[in-house]
Amino acid sequence: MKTAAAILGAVVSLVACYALGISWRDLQDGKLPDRDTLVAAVTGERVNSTPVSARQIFKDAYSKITKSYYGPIDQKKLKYAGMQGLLAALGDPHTLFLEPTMAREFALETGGNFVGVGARLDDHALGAVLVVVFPDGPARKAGLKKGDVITAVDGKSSAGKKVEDLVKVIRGKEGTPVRITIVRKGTPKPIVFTVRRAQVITPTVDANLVPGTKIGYLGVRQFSQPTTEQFDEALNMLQRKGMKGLIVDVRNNGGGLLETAVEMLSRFVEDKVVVKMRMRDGREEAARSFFGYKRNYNFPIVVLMNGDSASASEIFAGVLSDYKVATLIGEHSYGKASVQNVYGLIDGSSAKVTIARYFIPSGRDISRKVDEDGVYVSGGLEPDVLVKYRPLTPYKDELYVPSDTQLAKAVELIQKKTGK
Amino acid sequence: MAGLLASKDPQTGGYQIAEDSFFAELTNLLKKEYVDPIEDETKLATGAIRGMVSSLGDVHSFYMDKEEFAAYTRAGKGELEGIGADLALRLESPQVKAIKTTRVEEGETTPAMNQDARNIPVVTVTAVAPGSPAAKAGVQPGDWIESVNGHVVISPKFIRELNGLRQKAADGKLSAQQLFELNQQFQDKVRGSIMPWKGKEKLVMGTSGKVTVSLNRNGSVYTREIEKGVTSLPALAEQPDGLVLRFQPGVSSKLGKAVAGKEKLTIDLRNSGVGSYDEMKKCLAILAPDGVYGSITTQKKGSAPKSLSVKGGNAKPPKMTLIVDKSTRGPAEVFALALSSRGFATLKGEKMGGVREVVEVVSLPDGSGYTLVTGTYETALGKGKS
Repeated sequence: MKTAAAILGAVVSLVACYALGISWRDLQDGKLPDRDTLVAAVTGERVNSTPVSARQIFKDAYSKITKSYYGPIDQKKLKYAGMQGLLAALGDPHTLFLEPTMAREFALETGGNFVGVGARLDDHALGAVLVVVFPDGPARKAGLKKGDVITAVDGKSSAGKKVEDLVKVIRGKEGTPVRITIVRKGTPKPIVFTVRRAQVITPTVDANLVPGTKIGYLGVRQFSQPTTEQFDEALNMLQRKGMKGLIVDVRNNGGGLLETAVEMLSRFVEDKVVVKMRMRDGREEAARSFFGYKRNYNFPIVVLMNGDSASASEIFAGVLSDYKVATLIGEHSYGKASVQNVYGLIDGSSAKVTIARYFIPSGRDISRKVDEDGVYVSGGLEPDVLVKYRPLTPYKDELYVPSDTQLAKAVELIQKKTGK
Repeated sequence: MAGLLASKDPQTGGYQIAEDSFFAELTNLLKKEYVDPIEDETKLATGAIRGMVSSLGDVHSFYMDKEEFAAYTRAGKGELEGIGADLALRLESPQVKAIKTTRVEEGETTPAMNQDARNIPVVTVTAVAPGSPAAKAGVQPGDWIESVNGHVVISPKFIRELNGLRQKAADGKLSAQQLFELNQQFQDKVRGSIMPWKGKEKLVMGTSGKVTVSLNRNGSVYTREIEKGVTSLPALAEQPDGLVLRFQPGVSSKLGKAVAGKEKLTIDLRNSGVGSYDEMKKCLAILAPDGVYGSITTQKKGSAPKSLSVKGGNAKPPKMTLIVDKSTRGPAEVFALALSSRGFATLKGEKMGGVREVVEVVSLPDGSGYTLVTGTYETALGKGKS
């Protein structure tokens, strides 16, 4: 009798366990289900269920849209749109989802091997002006000259378009032709040049004295690997010419390598903290400028920046400002003080995710904040002297001549300080 | 990546990831790698939903965040906030898909600037509640919004203007100085301009504060400063013109009493506002006999239309006259077409709004929500007569 009761008891408890979702195997392994699961089993509720419910919320909506929407649904497109929305919900313009086509394009862009025509473009109402034509590039070979203004690319008008967009169309596969229409001073009609694209090594720095002064102008377009060397050469050249003031222009410079920025900063500040990085787990790392590269500048230094100066440009400008080495003139910078990693997914899409933030020595957080439509709300490095960009009248189409309000202010400030 | 459930895509041969695995994988990636702690996963889910609904490119299917959705729900109950007008995003050509992407690109350029003007919806006044701040300011249905508080609301006209400036620059007849001034004009116009749904938001939300609006009526623009407030639209009201009927929650339970014993009935369906499709069907059953009143079609391949039918209806329907105009849209328009197409009512007034989409309203756990078009109404005779 006792045995029967015992067996019955055992069976009942086993059945009860099974009914509660606890398996025989669990009990055999000596694992007792955790309290949450037990409570859940009994009450029918899920304790600690937040992670599941966010996923469920999404899944339900996906299901409903696919089933109930009155139009045809492209499931792949819907999923990608969902993932874009997911990453966009963080309000961080640099954390985003790239579907496979865009992921491939992004990888190409950041790969650094550019095939183009060998020229540097700057903004112009008609499209872009060629401020530099690389001496060994395809553009030079085809007959394009510094100062030419691009009005169309492959027959499409470039008026009102941003330089980055034009650059995208001008770049392309090696060996392929691109038709560039320009207007040139002294030539009544626009000229069309057919240029064959080739590999180009970009000069990232251009420098000269501002005509009629001893003020050195040093434009830094990118912070690439060869930039430090090019920067040093430019400084040497300007010093040989007897410069008595320096304007470093990082307007429209979207950034680049942090190491390059640190190297270049070492020419101005010695063995000082130049940037602090705060990682995800709260850990902080600091980068210091090097010994032995600092030069003596016995004259005022100005850094020009604008809304498209980002990342390494902001660190460069911010550090020189924090250590009172230079005056910042222009408009607030972009506000990208973060570093991202790109994670690839099996289907070829990628997620670009911010993994750390940079802080300049003063510790200010300059990171950019946007609303859910991506419109700028706040962020960026504030200039010491705010000057909105406006072309000066009469507009002079010549390089290094102060043809805009920001450059003019920089020259004015230096001249005031040096009493010249 | 480990743990990702994927299957091969039959078309491209690449992998395809199941949607909830995708969600889980990206959420876990963020929790592990993102620079800030992820405290609210629900925000990620609703963000994803916003993205999905936007991708439909449909002006009648849209996501609303918590505040917007609350205002929308209150409007559905007859409490209009803001300037007290119904605003809708209307495409110039109904065949074209609207753009409403969550912007994921970096930089200042708004994708809208490079769009075809036809892809941009126009923020149009579809109804003005009687006694509302908008009514007092003289706003009329058909007016559309050009700017709010000095911010240009992006519209086809605006895009065409920008394209015009671009063209002028490309013509090559201007001097360099003029070109730069033109470019500056261009930049100034673009800066501070807002997307259509943002413009609408500013006018339909909030119960106090002034807002300056520029409206376009048949090509001429006028500006008004309007004080926001709360305007009530009753669901049921006896007026000299007729019985005002709005398909707000619960109106069907009051309708029976209001029309009891009447052999002839005039119903005013103007300024119908946001209405509930389900409530409208109930009202239909109170006034009309059993039968089929049209069909709901979808654009999905292989799906058969569902019929709009009445069961347990009114065996002795009154003879009805329905007063309509362009502010009659959605469930009210369907109601009018259903009754008139079967001969139970005659329509009096003007052409209706032309919106016969059946819309489902979905609320989400965090208080936000979205609308989803589930079908289009057609009378038994084919396309509805208006």
